[in-house]
Amino acid sequence: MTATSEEIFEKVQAALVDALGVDDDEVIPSATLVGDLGAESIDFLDIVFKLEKAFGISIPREDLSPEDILTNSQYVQGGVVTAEGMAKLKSRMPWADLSTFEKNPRVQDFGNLLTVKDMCNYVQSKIGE
Amino acid sequence: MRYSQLDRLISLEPGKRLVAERTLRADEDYLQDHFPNFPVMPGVMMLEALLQAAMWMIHTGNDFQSPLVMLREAKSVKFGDFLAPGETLQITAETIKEEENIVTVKAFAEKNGKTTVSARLVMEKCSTGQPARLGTDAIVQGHIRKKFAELFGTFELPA
Amino acid sequence: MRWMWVDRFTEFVSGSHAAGVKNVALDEDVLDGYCPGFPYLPPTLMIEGMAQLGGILVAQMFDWDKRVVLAKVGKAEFLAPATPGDQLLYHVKLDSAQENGATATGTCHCDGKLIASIELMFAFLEDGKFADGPLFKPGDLGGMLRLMNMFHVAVDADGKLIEISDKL
Repeated sequence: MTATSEEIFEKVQAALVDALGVDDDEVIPSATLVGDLGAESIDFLDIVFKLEKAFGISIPREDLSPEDILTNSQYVQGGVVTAEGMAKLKSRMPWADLSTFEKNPRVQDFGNLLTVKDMCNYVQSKIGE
Repeated sequence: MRYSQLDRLISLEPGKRLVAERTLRADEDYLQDHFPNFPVMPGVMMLEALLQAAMWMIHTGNDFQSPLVMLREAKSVKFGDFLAPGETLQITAETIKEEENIVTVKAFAEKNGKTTVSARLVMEKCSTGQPARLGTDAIVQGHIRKKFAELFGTFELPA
Repeated sequence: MRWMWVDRFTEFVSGSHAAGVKNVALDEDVLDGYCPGFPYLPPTLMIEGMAQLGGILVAQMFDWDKRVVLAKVGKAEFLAPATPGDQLLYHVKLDSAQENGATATGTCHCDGKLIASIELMFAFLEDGKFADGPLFKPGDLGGMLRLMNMFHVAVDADGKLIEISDKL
């Protein structure tokens, strides 16, 4: 399917409003899912189902949760992601804006990374496939 | 009330906010089914605790004038954690919005500060809908105030 | 008190949908004193009935290997109370399923009228998280499903009666 970025935003917004019980006006592009919108791990599963349904795409778990990278001692040392680990993350998640995270890549901060805009970019990349 | 899910009230602002407690006892017999190897309070039972908290909050708020306070809609019900025997939930129900006889309530339960369940509940203050000549509404109204006293007797309603 | 909130499976098509019946009885413990003068089935137990149908539908689809629990109720609407003597007809349809969970929608009819509808999300407990090993002892779940007549009606997508798995 083709979709404008506006259409994508609207559908992502609707999915997040539904899944997280927040208001429309809280779901702005820069809002982080965890910090600003209060998403918990169970919500991510719900968000995945809603996005899959809304866009007819398939969302494998590792796309949004790179646990395998974040728990690999080759890519993470002392709770901080190594340069090699960052490269891996970037190639796994080219649609995510990792620039802020990169400045101080502590694994514990990763959970709060994803923004609404990241999700829209992700959907866009999957629609293309 | 055999299915009462609130052991005691902690605080009450009638019609506005209610905080209560519920401890899961190891001898609650449905635990044998839920689950045999992992006894925990069923999610819907935690939701029932939220629902009863909302119900009593609303009843005390209008002096038990409504025969019924019924759940019309439950939204965004999330189960975050399990409750094991011996553990205690602190349940909070707060009114967010009230329009005529529809009350929207934000309710959640916590265990050691961590949320185990949260929900948005839309409640309706209503009549039993039974034929007027039976006078059921008045009978039910008569019972509900007594039931509150039976359950939470030692708790004084603020003047 | 047993924790079985469906009395009988009336339909079960693997990977698709399940239907069952719940009779509301005056002598049920949960009705005793629940709303004096106007007993009705706590709506949360209607959710549980439909969640049990949905949870079993999902568990069977994954060949009883997943530990299925109710994670979320997206929306539940209740149009009328279920009172003693009512026979509730539950129907649960699977919406989607993947490696970590599944979603389903359920309806409840009584006397030909819709009285409740719900959206459910199930999660599969990850190994090592929350509890080790299966939730049920060998024979427990199978025993409950037999009481509910599941194996009388459960068929696969081709309409063939399903085998009673050893895993139950």
